[in-house]
Amino acid sequence: MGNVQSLRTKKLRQWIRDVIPQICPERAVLITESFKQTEGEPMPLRRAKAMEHILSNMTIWIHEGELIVGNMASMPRSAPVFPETTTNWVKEELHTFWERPVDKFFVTDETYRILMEQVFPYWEGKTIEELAMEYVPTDSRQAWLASHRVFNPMLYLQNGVGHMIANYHTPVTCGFNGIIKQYEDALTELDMAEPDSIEKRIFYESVIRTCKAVIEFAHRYSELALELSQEEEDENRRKELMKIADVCKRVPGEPARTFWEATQTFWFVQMLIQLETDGTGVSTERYDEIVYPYYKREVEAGELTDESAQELIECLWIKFFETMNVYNLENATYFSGYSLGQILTIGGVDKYGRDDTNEVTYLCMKAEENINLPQPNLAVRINRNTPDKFLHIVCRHISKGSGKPHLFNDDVIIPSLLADGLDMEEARRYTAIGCVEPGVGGKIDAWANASMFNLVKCLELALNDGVCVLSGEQMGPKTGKLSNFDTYEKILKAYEEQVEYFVSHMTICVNAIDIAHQKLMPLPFLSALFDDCVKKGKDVSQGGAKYNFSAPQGVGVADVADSLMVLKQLVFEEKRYTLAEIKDAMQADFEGFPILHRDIQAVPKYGNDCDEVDEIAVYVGRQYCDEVVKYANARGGSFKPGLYPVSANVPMGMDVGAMPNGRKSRQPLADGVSPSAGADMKGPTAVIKSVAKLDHMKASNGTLLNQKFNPDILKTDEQLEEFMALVRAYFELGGWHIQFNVVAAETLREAQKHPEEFKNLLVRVAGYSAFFVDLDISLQENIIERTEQKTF
Amino acid sequence: MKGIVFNIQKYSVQDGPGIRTIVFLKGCPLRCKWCSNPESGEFCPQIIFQRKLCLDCRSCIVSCPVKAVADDRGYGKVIHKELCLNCGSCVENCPSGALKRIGREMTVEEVISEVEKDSIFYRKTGGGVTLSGGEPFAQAEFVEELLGQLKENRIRTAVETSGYVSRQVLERCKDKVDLFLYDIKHMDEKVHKAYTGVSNRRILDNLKYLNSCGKKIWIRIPLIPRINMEWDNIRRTFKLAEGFACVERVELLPYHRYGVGKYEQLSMDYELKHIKAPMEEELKSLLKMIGEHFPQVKCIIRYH
Repeated sequence: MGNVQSLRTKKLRQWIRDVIPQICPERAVLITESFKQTEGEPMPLRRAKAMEHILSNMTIWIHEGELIVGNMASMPRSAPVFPETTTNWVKEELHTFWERPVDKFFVTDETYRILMEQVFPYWEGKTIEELAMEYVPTDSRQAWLASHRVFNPMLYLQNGVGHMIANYHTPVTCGFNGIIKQYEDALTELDMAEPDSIEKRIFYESVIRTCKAVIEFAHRYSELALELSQEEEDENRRKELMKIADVCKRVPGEPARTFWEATQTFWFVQMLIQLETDGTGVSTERYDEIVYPYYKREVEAGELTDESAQELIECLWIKFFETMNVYNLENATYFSGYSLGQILTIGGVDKYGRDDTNEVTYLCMKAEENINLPQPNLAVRINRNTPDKFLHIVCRHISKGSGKPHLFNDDVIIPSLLADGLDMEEARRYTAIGCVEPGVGGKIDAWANASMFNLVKCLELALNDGVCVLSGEQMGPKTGKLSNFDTYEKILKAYEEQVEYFVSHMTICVNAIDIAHQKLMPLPFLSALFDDCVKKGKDVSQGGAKYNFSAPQGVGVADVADSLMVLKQLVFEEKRYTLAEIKDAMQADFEGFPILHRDIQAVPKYGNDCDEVDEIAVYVGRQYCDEVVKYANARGGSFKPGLYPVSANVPMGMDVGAMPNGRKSRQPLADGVSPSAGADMKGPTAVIKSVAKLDHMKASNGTLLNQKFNPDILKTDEQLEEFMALVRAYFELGGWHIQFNVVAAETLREAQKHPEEFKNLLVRVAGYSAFFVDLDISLQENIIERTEQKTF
Repeated sequence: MKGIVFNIQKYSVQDGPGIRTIVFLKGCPLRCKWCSNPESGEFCPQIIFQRKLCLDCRSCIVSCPVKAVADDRGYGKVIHKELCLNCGSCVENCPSGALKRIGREMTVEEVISEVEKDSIFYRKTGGGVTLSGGEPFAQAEFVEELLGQLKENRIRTAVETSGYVSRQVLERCKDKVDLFLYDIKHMDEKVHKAYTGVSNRRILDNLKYLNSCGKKIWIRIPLIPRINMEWDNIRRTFKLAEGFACVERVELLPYHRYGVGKYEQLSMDYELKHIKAPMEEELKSLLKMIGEHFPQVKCIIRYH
């Protein structure tokens, strides 16, 4: 089977790649109009009415050649504005969007004027950010807002929550009319004498109203397509437009009957979730599983060919890339490269545990090869029965260097979800959220990526009696002066106390933000797609989902482990240096301590399959996880730890002084659970062995291993086989997730010099891929530095 | 039992089937002028000097008990070999790692425990351990014991050899070796001697012997432009390979210059300054010619 790309998707790709991102004020204007009219009404209804107002009035368009339709903003690749979450930073940064170093957006004078005059003044004092800060108690606020922070739950303070997976099966198979019916029945059955019913009624009505607006919204596309078809001169395109009109007349209101309709519903759901809330990391269920029955029936009936199915998939891929959201500068640096984190997962086992790779799974890989844009962030589930044929195709694509897809291990993730209390069928349905987090469509309100937690800063504070070395502030508890640490264990104890203190305050802050979302941001559309909301009579933001987690991730396992190993070996075992000497060197950023710095380099580092230091890394990961799971969240669920940084290891490194492992002040931290940059000297097999020693099941919100490969060692078929074996081995050893950058350091250097020639160079950043030239310069450097695995 | 090892390289996908770990053993009776591992020539640990890392702090000069280290023409350092006791005090006192010791004593057990770590990868790919060098068989007793231990641990073995080995050593070791990666550098005895320092007679004899024992062999030819790449030599080598039933394939290893920097670090002269790496087209046409003349012989190009 060859891989032929249609001229249509080639053209669409070219077009969308070159569109300049802009800010679109339309949604902001519409929600403001609506909110002005609904003052005083219950919030769920206000949100439903606002959604209705937006969907009936926003500009819609169908671009030349598109088959799958549905747009979030008045222009392609434009970001809508969500004044209800925050206006502060937008107001401050709006004029800088075009000049800032990362994720640039063009803002016209007209947009600027509209937002500043018509939108933002209304929202003063009414946003999530302002309310959340009111809920945060003073001491937690102090623990949070130091000049160099240990934890940072900024994402949900300044954006919607996102980071969840809705149920995509129900809208495809039952249609929104089916969902409306469920809610209408529930409404009829309400016993209004029950006090609970008062709020339930409002909730049900908010969902029904929103779902109806969604169906009407699709009908607008149907009408637009029909209009366009009447003007269309090209006979083929005219037929296509009439087909689009048919499809949008039918779905998502009614159950899909065809592959095309199922794909169109899939896209409407994905897009509308992101129009309701500006949450990022909005990810999908297994597309290949959802559309497969339609594909199979139509192919057997001779109504669909692989070529036309693939073309539709490629059109869907392009829609994912078209979607945009805007972060403030800080978050844009954390998640640089216009990363929306929309993961689309394929492959994996079915509900009975059998491998479920099907023909559509293969077509998706072909579409990925052809389209090769940063979004969707394609994830592939691998299990012990994944066919080698499929893994080979996946690895071959990885070897070409786009960093996609990234790979997830069914054989570890499913058991870890069972341990979280899910049942077997649910666990087997998992797909990936945002970066590496597990979700189950319509079951788990994950609050993944709820906060970043800097483990390395905690060690710095432990070595300085709670004082930040960069600012001199007393940030953490006084856990003892260096002179008191006469054993290695005492250092560990001080470190643990710092972690305990900050984890506790972090959970309080995350819960405060959670409560602000509950008060101000009910999500009736999303709730319609969470199975238990109807039964519970609760919006998803209030804990309507079956499982509710809040998941903050620890960053810097390798730096802490390597640093502790240095202290253990050089100070306590070999007694070659005193703690005071090492601290002096750290204070001087190792300037003037060349022999010490060299001796530090010689201490074994995490990532080389050396048990002694790897055990410390295991301890660091476990201690953080054990601490996080102690806490309850604000939606009746619990906290759930992960160990991955997105791309925050670079900015978080800016908050930490020099460390005993020889890392200099303000340098990037290690990325995910990967070894520190340059510390892995023994190649990829040793890295895999080391990283697999961590308790990945315990870090049940995900771990991230990033491996960089030189393209030279992935040239031949044999080498590709060996690469596959590496993946299989990592997963057999118990790894969670692995991703690869297969691009030579020289190529990246070239791209820095001549960005215009490398516009298409995709690289793996963290849990996502981005165009290299779109990244912040310090992140570019970090990617180049990550050890390039090369044997000779 | 101890041997001198100068590197253990994991995830090697070039030297034998599957994912392998290469154990590089120090010491070689040959002195091939193109050798990219010149640090492997001598049998004892050696000190190398990397000029670009030198801070010029003079710690080495001060610490040397016999004044073997000296300034080198105003920049960098030079070690006078005739004085050096190989005590390592200059290395210990070097803050930047500019002075480094190459090669260390390892016991068979130490090597085994390091290579065992990757056994999951060998298992998955039909890989294993390759002994390389230097000439591994030159550390005969160590190698014999190491190979025996590897076989006992059910790890597949390969040895990359120059073939310049005593027959007794081969006799003792051959059954513990699953695959021989056997270098044939030149078919002409005189040329061979001129560029490697030794005659090729023993090498060709041993190849015949291993073939007669039924040992699996991959012949490897380093392709050095202007030295052994001319068709006549290639043809003769392939003719030889064709005649041996146990030779499964011939691998061509195009000359490269990645080792040149090491000569400077070892204060050695690199004699092949004038030779360039072969061009892609040259290799392609050579491969084509081989295919036409020796269609029965499996031939592969291995890049560094």
